Amino acid sequence: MKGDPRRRVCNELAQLLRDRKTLRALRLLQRTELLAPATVARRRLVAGGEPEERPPADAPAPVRRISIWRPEERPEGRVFVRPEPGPFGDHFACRREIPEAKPAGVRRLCFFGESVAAGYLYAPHRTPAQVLGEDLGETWEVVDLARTNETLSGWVRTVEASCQLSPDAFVFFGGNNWNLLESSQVSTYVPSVHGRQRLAEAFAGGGVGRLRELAEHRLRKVARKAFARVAEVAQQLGIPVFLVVPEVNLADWESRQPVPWLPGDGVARWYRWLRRGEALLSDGDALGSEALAHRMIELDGGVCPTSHRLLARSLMEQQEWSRAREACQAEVDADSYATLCFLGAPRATSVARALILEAARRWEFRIVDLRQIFRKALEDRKEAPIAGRRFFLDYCHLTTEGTDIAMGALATAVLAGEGPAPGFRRSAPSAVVEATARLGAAVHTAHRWAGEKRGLLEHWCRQALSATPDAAQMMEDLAEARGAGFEAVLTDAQRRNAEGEAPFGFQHGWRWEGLDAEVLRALFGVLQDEGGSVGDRLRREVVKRVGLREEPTELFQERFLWDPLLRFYPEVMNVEARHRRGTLRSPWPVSSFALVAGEGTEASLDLCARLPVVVGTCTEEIVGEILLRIDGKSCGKLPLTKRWSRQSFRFRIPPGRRVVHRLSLEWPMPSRDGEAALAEAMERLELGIEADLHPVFGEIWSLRARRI
Amino acid sequence: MRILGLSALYHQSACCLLDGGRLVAAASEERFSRIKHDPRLPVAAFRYCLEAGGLSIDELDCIAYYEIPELKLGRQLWSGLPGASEADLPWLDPLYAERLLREELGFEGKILCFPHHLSHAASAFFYSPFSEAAVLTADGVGEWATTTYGSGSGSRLEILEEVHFPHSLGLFYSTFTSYLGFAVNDGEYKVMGLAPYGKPRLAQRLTRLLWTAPDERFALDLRYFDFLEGHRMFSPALEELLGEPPRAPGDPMRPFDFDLAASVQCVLEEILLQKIDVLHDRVGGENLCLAGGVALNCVANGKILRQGPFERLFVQPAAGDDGGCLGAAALAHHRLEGSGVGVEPLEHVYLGPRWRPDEVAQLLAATGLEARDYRDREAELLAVVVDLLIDKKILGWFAGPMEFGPRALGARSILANPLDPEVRDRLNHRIKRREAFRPFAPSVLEEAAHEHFELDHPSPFMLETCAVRSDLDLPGITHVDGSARPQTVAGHHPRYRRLLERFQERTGCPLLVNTSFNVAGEPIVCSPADALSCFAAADLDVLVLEDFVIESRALPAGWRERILSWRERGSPASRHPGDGVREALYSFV
Repeated sequence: MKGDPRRRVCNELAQLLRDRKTLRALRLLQRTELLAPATVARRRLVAGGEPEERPPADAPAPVRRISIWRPEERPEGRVFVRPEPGPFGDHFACRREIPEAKPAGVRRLCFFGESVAAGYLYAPHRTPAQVLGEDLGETWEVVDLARTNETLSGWVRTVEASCQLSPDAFVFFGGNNWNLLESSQVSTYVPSVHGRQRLAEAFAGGGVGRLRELAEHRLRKVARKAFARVAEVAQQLGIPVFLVVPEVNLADWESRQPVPWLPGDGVARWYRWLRRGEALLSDGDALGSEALAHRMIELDGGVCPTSHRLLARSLMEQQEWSRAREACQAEVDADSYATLCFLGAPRATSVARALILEAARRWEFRIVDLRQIFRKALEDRKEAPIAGRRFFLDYCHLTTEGTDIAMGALATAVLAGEGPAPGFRRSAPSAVVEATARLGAAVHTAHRWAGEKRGLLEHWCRQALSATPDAAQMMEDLAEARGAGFEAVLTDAQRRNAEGEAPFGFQHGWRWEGLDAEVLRALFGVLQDEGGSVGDRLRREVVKRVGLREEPTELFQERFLWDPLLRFYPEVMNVEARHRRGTLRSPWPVSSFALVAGEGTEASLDLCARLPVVVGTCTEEIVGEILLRIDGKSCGKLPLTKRWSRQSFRFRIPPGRRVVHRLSLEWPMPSRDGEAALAEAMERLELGIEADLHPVFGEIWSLRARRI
Repeated sequence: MRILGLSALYHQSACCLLDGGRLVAAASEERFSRIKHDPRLPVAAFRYCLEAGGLSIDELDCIAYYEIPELKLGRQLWSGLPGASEADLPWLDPLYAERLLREELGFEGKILCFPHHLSHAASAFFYSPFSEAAVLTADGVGEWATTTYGSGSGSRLEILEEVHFPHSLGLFYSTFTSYLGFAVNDGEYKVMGLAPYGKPRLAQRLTRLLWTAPDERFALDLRYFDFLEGHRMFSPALEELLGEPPRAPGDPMRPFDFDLAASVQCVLEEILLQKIDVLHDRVGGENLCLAGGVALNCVANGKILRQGPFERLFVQPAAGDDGGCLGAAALAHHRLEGSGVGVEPLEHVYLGPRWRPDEVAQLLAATGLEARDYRDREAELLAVVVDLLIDKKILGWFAGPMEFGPRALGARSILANPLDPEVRDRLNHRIKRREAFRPFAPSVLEEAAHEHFELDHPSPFMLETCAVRSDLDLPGITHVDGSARPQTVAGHHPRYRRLLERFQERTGCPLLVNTSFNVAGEPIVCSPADALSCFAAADLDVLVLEDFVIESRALPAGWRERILSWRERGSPASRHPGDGVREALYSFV
């Protein structure tokens, strides 16, 4: 064996691959497909992979599961049965059994779609399918096959399987997920070497904008194929297909994204303008902020949603509704793929809308366009004509009112030709269900919105209390579970929650292990406003559980991170196939942490941090300063180098009732030239190594706080 | 010199911290991530080790990595495209591991890489109580080596001979692990436990698979193996040779399976004994150190000690890849420190995280569970626990720092009364939910061990089997062949020792049944929250959580069901590294 010449060659080859140029040569061979895929395929064939056995053409269609509903043979006929949901619910409709045979004289409508169609935050107590069923009356049966996290391929599979139910109509309500789930390959963090190489090529051909085009190209391909297949199935069955074109929350949501590297000192300028623009806007100078937003868009080339948002807010402030709507949509469209750096919100882009409308024209599907329907509803109410929190709980999920309007329009379309549409009479969700959904909206917003969101969180907390005073107990349970420091399922709060009429579940972020500091602050504030002692009691409890102690508390832990979206996308998501990171890198100019302590507490802080490092260029020279803030107020500065360095700092918690404090570290702006940074990122991608297209402002090893 | 040993990226990742030659901390990543055999970069274990040593990342002098990436890549290239699930071959980059250490861990200091089997050898010799010893390592494969023969003296460790891939005792054993329907790199214990139920009637046939020379060499007959292709372990020729098809996972055991397990075990023991004779002829001396996954075969270890030429044996308790980090750290220590300061022998494995009583109290308060508090009243606590054990209760025992390595040794254990005639069946069926044939091991007071076992030396790490010769009837811990795998308990875990003493005072029996605190398919518990979750899953009678006692009969209605349902559907243990991003979301779209 040791004399095996092949072995010597392989060892030498492995040694050579340590050299970057050799590795690059190898990766280029892969990219040109001169190496690997064909070889792999051939070897697999030789290894004896057997071809899949195909049934004869005239064989009866096999019985198969429909989504998660599995066939069961019963004396009364075949029934499709779903597994029991877990204690926190799951992504599917709660209907346990679907008989294969339709009830006599009843038409069956199969209802497909994403979380918006599944009644996210209200399910299983009240879902769009249930509302539609009420609207359509007893001559129709609505089979709810919608699911959270639905993809186009999943939809097609379920449509195909649903033929076993002899449907009379299909409804699809989706398109919001497509910017996230249909183009996840368009990411510098995908594990595939080929994927990274393709990105590098695309980027070289047109920067970040070209990556967006790549995502859109992929979406078009996948969506057209899916619609064609659904059309084929519907034509075979001879049934109509209704597409609900989603509208998204344009007025009250924000897809805040950091800006990618820009040439020269562009990043520093961009953030300077953003800060200035937001300040002008809050001072009432919407014209000033609008001007800065235009400059930001010019600088970033329109690829960053945040610039468009500043413009949209400026225009809404000026009641320039038409231009504001365009800016809002531009924000959504700029956020049109998932994993460039940061987790966006699922919202239907212009491309998604266009694809749905195109499919409708091509395949004669019928359309229910929520954009037009909601606009009309707002006009009827004489409100600003951009849909917001009246219809949406978050970025796309509907409120009770939004659901009722949407399903009313859909029912009218389905019943068209059956005489005049009846006036729909619906059962409203119970007060507890409504409160759970609204409080869930607060939690979900906290998890999915980067940036200032306190007003929105307080809004939903108040709305929950306005639904029922019992929401105060839910809030208390939430605060207790968040303060426990381990899985909510183990807490006594969960016992109470589980016994409730509409427990918090998976969809409400109940299982979240973070402290949810901003939600807690909103809860305390709202409970305080309501009067009574609950707010104060909860504050004391939180301090008791997670307040600063004499032993250091590591604020670096995910639990104390102020906002889960303060990290890069793959790090936010803790993707299990990916290695976790030992440090916290900030893609934002500010990193914030929750610090729990009562007023006047004397505390010390030990920070181990560094400025972003290009390997091999570490230096101990001081290259910048971190500005420390507590609850927005400056409280000190610490020097920073490109190597890890440790600094200590003492401070006193400011006076007041607040116990959950926001400790912020404001990093210096990057001094690197953006073009050089991007060139390095491209080189890494070509080698199949993941790369950041966004600046890293600072990196933390540990941040320990203790009471002194 | 502060050195962090690190093993990762193949089977079971782990870290340890060696400070001035003293092992300060060690832990496997799986305990934190709750993903069994987690192979990913051990970020949580890394952070834990530094925290346990009171170090910041800039105070660490060196990371010692347990293999040489480019050597491993050479072997992978030679093998073709093993396990190439992705056509684009991301693993073709020999700098991948170093890049992860720099970029994902953020380490700026010196990185030293040592050969995989040298790391194994060092993990055994440098932590042994011997100043001189012969060293044998054997596992599936490292870079090229699968078995090494070496000798150690003071700060010097020399590999004298190597057997190279694809000829591997580990892969030989794993092939039959797979044939018997168990998972490779996981179910090898089960084959060992199954063996005493069968007769080695196939051993002669199996010797056709494994040629052995009178010196260190041996070779597999590759016609019977298929692991080079990376698809399955054995070829059709093996099925033809054995005359019975492989057992499908979950199928009932056939008499053939018992006999095959016995035969494989027999062949392994014979070849190990022969090679150890060869090693003794070459190195001499009275001391032998063993490491590598094969060294976890405690039945073979017992025979090596009883029938082999060496007088004393040290098996590094985390003998698998997780323990490679110990060896890498020791090698780095000697390289950087010279021969002046040695590595302290490994006396115990209580090197993992621990929780303060007030932290446990706080957790329990949030659960709302009824827990009896024995803080500062250990004597009362132990009296209560002994009462419960006498009453045949099965209890989860969570006490002090977590063990490093695959064995629970009284810090994260499930304990039971060995005098209970039904204890084994109850543990296997109700608690651990594992195969009925698998035995349980005892903990025994060190000074009483010889009265109950054919054992004349301490065996603190539960790594060898011996015959039971007790006057007591000990069905719970006696295997079908009359053997047991005892842990002798001295004073390294004072509370656990005191528990055994109190149990002996009350019953005359200085033993307890001790099995790992987990259920099938999950890592051993790490934190109090893990213990609570496993308490529910395992349907234990009692949980002793540091100073607190919780009885299952006092649990609120529905509590256990709720935890079980969560574990099935939502806990980290219900997910796997391959699940990808969508399953990691709580619900986003």
